[in-house]
Amino acid sequence: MDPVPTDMECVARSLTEPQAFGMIFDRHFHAVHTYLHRRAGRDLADDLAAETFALAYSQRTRWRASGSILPWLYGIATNLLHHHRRAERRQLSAYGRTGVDRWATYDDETVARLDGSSLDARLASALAALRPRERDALLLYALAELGYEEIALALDVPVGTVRTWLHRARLTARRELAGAMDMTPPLATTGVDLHG
Amino acid sequence: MDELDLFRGFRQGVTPPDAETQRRAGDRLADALEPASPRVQVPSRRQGRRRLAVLAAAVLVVVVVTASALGTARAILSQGPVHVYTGTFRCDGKRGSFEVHLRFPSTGTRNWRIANGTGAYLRTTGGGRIPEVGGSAHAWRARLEGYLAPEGARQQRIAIILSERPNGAFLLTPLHKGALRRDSGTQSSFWTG
Repeated sequence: MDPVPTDMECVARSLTEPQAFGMIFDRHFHAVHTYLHRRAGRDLADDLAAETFALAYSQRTRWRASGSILPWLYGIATNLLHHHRRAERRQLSAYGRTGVDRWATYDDETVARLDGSSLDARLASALAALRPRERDALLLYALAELGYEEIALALDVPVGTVRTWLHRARLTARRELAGAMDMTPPLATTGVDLHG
Repeated sequence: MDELDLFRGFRQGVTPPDAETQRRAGDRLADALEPASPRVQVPSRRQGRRRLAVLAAAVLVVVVVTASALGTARAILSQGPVHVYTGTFRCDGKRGSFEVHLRFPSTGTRNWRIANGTGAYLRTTGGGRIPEVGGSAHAWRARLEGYLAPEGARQQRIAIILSERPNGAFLLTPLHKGALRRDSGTQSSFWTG
């Protein structure tokens, strides 16, 4: 039985057999779509996730092969989101203000509505208050669960810059969420507990 | 707890992409894959040819150098079959018409000779070598140099430029004074070999 080819092998093979890139798509589409969905809502995610893979294919020779291709794909998706930065910020502000998330779709809409009025809305306000690059770094850390090195790779910046952005994001989040954390002790738990 | 970790739960529980979304994205990728296929393959084929040409050139250099050292290069090169391409160009100018027969051996000197002249070229004889030739059909160009001897006149050095094929133009230019004068017109050609 043949071993499962790594991302690196799939990309290398796609240089002569383009169809080999299909394995990258099958392997990572779900993750990239979910990341975009959580950042910018369902409709944008549908378009941008497709665009991410088409772009990744055409630019694949620029990928600095290093284990998984996923951080690089997240980087492309994040850069594509820049064209929709204002829309994303408007969504987050409105979500924070009204407590109603009209852009994302949830597995359990009832739970989403209940939770949407509490923590997520405050998180959305905090995200809207961040600078775009700080928001990118924070959400790659929190939603995509990338490490500092991987974020640096995804955004094509030095690791030190990522540390700076995350530090600033932490200060802004602390300020924006201070009230929420004081008023509602359960909010200090993770989202898993809240949405559980 | 780190404030950043709170964001791990942001919009958790969103619906995963459905089959239709995945299919549309797959189609988008397939569109990107298809035009890319020839782009990917053509350079690699070219590279393959280039590598082959470089390899062939290297082998040739090694053979020639070795053979020269042994004094047998001429013998080795002359042993291969010599293929000859010939072309006939019918030139119709203001002063008459003539044919030039071009001879392109796979090794050795390319040359030409004149035949079937009329008007100023009646019973003209002569020929010469072809120092320049090349280009594809519409940009094809050849420069013929040599000596022509019109009937009853002394030999005269001339140059003929043939451009384009199979149909194009010709320009005959005398390089020395003599009976022949500058002439130009159309030409049509065919090749054998």
